[in-house]
Amino acid sequence: MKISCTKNDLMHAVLSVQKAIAIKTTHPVITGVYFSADQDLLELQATDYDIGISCTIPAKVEQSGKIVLSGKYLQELVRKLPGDEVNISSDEENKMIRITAGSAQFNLLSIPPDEFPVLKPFETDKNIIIQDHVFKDLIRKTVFACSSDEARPVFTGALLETDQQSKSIRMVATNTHRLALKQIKNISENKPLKMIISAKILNELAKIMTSDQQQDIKISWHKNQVGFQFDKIYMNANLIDGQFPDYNRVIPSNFETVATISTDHLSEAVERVALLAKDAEYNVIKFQFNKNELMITSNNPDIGKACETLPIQLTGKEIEIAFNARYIMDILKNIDHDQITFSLNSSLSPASIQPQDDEEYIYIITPVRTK
Amino acid sequence: MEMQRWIIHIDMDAYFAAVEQRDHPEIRGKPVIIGGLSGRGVVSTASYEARRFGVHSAMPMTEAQRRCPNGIYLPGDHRKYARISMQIMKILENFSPLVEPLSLDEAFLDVSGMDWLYHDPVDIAKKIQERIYQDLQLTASAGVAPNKFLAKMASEMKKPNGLTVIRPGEEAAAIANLPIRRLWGVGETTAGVLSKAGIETIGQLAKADPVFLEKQLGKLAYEICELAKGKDDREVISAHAPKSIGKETTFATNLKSKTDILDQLLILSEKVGWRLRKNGYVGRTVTVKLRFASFRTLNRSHTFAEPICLDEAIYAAAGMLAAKMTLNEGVRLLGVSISNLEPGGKQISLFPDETEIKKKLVCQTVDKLKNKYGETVLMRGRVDEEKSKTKMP
Repeated sequence: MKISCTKNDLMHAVLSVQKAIAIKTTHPVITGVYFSADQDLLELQATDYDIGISCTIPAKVEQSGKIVLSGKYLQELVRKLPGDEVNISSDEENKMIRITAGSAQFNLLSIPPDEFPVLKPFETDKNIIIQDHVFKDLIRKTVFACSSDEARPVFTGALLETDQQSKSIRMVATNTHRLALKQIKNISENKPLKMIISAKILNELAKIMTSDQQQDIKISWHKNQVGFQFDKIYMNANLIDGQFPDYNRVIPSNFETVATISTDHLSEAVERVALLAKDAEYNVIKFQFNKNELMITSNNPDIGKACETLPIQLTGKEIEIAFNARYIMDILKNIDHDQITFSLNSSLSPASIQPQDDEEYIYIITPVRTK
Repeated sequence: MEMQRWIIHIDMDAYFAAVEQRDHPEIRGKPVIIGGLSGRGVVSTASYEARRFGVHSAMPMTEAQRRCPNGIYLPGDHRKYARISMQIMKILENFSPLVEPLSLDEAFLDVSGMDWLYHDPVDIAKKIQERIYQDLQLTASAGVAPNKFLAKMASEMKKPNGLTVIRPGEEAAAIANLPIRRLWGVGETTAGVLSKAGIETIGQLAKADPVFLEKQLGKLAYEICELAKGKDDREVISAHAPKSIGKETTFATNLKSKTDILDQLLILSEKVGWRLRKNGYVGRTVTVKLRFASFRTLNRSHTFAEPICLDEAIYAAAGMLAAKMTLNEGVRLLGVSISNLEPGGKQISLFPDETEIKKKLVCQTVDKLKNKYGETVLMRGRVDEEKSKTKMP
């Protein structure tokens, strides 16, 4: 193999596949990054069997070929190379790889590439295409609500599903104490789809969807795997096996108290009051919804108390309720509208927080018992 | 400028006796003595009427009966005193977030920096006394001072229903005439040493030569001298939740096999789980402590993403941690503990785990039996009674 490419392109490719490099494995070849050069393209791949990522960049290919380089050193090495251009070549037996850039030269041992489990997009007609900003929005507005408790794996991922009647696609995530649902209507694609994708994978995906220009993302699925194809990147991952619970059942159909509040004012007040909430006790802060105002308080016996009052518009009965402050802050960060609707029933039943006039984004939060 | 510290010490007057006199009008105004009534019992509280006969707390009951043969002797109802004590502490918590209960009938409050609410901390003490009397018909004595030590000294100066304040600048003078035995840390031995040097009062101690004192008393000298000058910077610490709940066992003979170790970890996990649930907590971190015959000790922890409280979950983590330890020698001690505690069952779940609920129900039933008949009433098949008794005598 003998190629040259820009340092920027190479860095982009290395960062894109980085997350999939295996760390603890009995199979040394997957601790490396696979390089394959052919027809003015250089493809990098990494996989830990749970997740596989490939990224293709333009390159001048003098001699095509395949190599595997140790993943551990690659990122720092490429980052620190001088100049704009990088040359990569292998010796005849493919045992030594030479990387040169400006005055710098590295000679690296190659890992035999033949055993590398090369990633191929699966051939299937089970796929849909949606715009990347739509998909990113689904991820950003829901995945934070996932659980990190491996004991109940379905909650460590988000449900992605289409609804053929309303022609919508939605993503739902919950850690059983709060639930986030984002739905987008009138999508052009109309194929039945229902899968649970790990939060880890969705977060990584959102991170590597860096293109400024709008583009399409093709989501395909096959058996227990899902593939994402966009730009010059392909990622595939194992789906989470299991039954996502019937989330519609926990979304209350009506509320006895509905308050409208400024998103920013609420967000800032909650952050301040939460300073005195105890981490070890569910970060409890109390909300007293009165006719024209909302009083938020916290009490930490070791430190002291905090209290803040906000103007609100309230219809229905007044109510006192306690929440985990973190669950409130999480949702407020992701609401783009300047007003929210906070809807409640009783101090022991789930409440909802929504951007005003937006039925497509739903957040359900359970209260904390304080007595 | 540093904020002036203000501490209030609240001390209920003849607490147990006062509660009984409140609840039984027929014994009001009479000498009431609460304590162990059996042969070796001692007086826990004597009413002010009984104190006139020379009866005081910690006195052997037989002596009390000799001094006050017509007194009213009662065994006392500690559950009732604890319940009323909780009401007292609730009242105190209205006046400061920093309340440190010392026992059922006394507590410290830190009221520093509350000048914007009350112009004088003495007013807070007065309000507290009024509230306690209004709500509970009991009297308390209060001490108000710049630190804990002086506040406690002050509350004892006027009793019952007294209020004493020691203001900044008066610290040393306020206690100068008290005997040295009143200082925290001065017992019979220390008092004897000081007395030989002619030091009888706190005031004399405050003026004594520190070098001489240090030679006589060692490190204690500095501490008691500071107290004698009325200085004390101990913080008021409100009641803390436990940081961890654990149990460990030393074995009569060292454990050699993995199976024996796992069996013992199961026994310990059940004990820890029971205590955890009894106290109403759930926890996230399980730690196993293992001490080898050579006294080499290993501690390994596992943290769950979500808090747990079931024996099985504790054991699952403990067993997993133990499996990772290399055993080259016998094991003389095993311990299991759980930390990162939080009060359990407070956050409501949208999707309760059905199997988890069933396990919890089983657990609750077992716990009820254990609470009623003792810990050994029910045991798992693999843990027989013999094994659970391999502890050192």
